[in-house]
Amino acid sequence: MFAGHFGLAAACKSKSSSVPLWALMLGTQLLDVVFVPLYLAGVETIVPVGDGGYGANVIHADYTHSLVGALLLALLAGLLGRRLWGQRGGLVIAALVFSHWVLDLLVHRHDLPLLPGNWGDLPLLGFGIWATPLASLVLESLLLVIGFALYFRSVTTGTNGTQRRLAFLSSGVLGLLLVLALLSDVLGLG
Amino acid sequence: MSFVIFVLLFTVGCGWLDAKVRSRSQKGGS
Repeated sequence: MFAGHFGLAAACKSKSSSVPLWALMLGTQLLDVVFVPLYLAGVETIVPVGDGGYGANVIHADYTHSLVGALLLALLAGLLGRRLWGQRGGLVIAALVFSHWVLDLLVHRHDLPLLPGNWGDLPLLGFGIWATPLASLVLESLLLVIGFALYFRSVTTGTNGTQRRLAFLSSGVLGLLLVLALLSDVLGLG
Repeated sequence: MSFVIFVLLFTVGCGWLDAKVRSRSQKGGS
């Protein structure tokens, strides 16, 4: 579910004007961004389940997606955010980074460890909504629709003329990308 | 691969457009 995370960032932007959208977008995907080089290095892996389609994967991201790993990344990002955009900005960034783990907890199969490297071989977490693709699709679509609606309202309110056209363009591009991200996700291209 | 492309599009593309809208709003408001 990478599209749903973007939806949450768009929703966040409507409530936190001091933090730029790019930081919110990057923050909400930070766990997966760090995952990419570890995946390429073979440290973290993806194992397809069945046809390996939408959500049909067990993801062994034992460092980036462990509870403690996610909290550490959120803390680091939050500290950087505080330096750049103040106390509230730091809290928003930290919360958004950690929100990735919470959303993943809902959809992942039992593959999220508590400690980095699954140290201690503790039980793995995940409520497994991905096992029911329709439920996962509904959840992700809701995040996208709500995120887009809140962003659209915040960016267009009180605008007119050229400013309004620019606000519509910005919302339109965001909306289009959210739909394309969801399609890419569902088609298993993510 | 598409994940990386989308991260770039959302951060650079949407981020730039949104910053443009906000800066115009501030100019308009002042």
